[in-house]
Amino acid sequence: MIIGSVIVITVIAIALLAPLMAPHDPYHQDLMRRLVPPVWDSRGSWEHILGTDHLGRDYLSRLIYGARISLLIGIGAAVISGIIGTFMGVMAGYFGGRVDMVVTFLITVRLSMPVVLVALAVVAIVGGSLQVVVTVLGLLLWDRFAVVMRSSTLQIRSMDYVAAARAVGCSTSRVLIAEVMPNVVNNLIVITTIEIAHAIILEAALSFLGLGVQPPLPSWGLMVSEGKDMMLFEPWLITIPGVALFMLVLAINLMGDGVRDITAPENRN
Amino acid sequence: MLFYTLKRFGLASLVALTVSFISFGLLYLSSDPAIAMAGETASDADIEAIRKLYGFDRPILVQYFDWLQRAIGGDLGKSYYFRTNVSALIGERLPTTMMLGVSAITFAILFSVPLGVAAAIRPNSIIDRVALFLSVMGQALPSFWFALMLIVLLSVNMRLLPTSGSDTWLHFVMPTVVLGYYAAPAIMRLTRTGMLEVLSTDYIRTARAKGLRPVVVLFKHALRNAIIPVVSLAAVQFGFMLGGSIVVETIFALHGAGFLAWESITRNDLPTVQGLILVFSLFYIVLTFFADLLNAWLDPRIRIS
Repeated sequence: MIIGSVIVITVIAIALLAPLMAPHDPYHQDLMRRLVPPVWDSRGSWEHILGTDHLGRDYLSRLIYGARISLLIGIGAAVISGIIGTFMGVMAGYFGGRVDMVVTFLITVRLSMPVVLVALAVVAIVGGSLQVVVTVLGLLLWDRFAVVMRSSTLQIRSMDYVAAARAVGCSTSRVLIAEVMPNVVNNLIVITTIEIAHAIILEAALSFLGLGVQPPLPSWGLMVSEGKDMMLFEPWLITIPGVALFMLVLAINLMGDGVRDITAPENRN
Repeated sequence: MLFYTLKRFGLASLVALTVSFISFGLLYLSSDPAIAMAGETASDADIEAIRKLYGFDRPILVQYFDWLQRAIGGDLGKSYYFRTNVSALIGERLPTTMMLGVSAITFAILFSVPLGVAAAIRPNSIIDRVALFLSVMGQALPSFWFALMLIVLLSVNMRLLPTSGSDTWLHFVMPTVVLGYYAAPAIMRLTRTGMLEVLSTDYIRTARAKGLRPVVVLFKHALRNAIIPVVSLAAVQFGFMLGGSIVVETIFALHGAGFLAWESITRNDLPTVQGLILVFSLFYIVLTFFADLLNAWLDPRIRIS
């Protein structure tokens, strides 16, 4: 958990301070210095620590600016889907009956639709951009929020303090906001970390297939895709953004596991 | 059991109907298919002609019911790009995807169930820690990148496996691993928690006390009970895999339904995309339907409530 948090905080800091951290302009092309290898290669130089891509753009700078895109999409999609899913789940868990039936039905419908296929199709029709990818992923990834929030609320609903709040005449919205929400927020945090990681991986996959964030934006998935044609001769082109992606997702997951272990040690297994 | 089956069937049909409406509406509401077909430079008259020819000028609900009626009869329309019947096109490509899906889920189960059992026998042992480590790593690994790294490592550097195509079983090895590893962590964790729970029950203690061999207790008494939830998880994961096959098939150029999805999406081939979304969704619905029935049959408590 500590390692995970340190990595996540570092990546957030890098993303926020990108203009200060990046040694070069991530969009500046220098066709005379294309495909310079990283510094650990004998052909590399300290001027471009992680080398340059097929258009001569500094790889380290693109990697740093790419962190912004990954985090923006991960957090943006998780916020949208979190609002939708939490609302649906809490309503279903608290009111039960017909509301629960409708929500459960919607969850089943959502689960039966293939995420990647639907996301690709919508992006292809609407056109790829950062906003479109965030919105599409946000509208697709609410299922886990709804499932977990529903079952957590179901547990809380039968607690004595909820009955007590109702007995003293609290309004339904007050019971939901002041009694239910604070007690499901731990689970909400854990699911949010999972979905941020999920959205980051999906964005990378969409961009890799050419139907996500569009060039010249430095998305990590796009960087892997652009390096793919030269991966046999210059494997570092795909290794570097791939490792960055893997590390970030791993760190977010570790952080989520850590939060869960602290707030609900009984779920550790 | 009959009542439960009917109830589940009704629900599954309703879900299928909703999915069909969404997959139809999704692609129609967001753009004008006539313009997409005619191309950006087409004249207004040409666009109008196409609109008439394909019936895009009718109200959307009329178009939907028309499409649904034919879809139920197995006719998913004609592909804009391939100029053939969508049903035939999907039918031709589906066996490759099925083969990939079956081998991937088999790989995932063969890998993760024994690991989950071994981890549960001795919690916090080295095996348990290795299993946990692998599952955490597996969940963070982007599949498209993993696929490319395998190609570089196994095909190019070691020259062990072919990179693309679907001619021999060797072509399926890397796609199977790439598609299967993603499902493995969830199955492993569920097997482990299930086994831990069952192993602490009274009937396992009784079985041990009456002197049964540990192997018999483990596999005949414990695993059989712990595996029930794993079966439905595997069914769900299998359904997800078909959707995930699009990335894997594109990278390895396996000519299955996932590759067809990518081809038709990049070519604005709406009927094929709709057909594929419908077929993949239906497959998932049918799978979970049977998994539910299997569960209810194995565990009578489910069908009563």
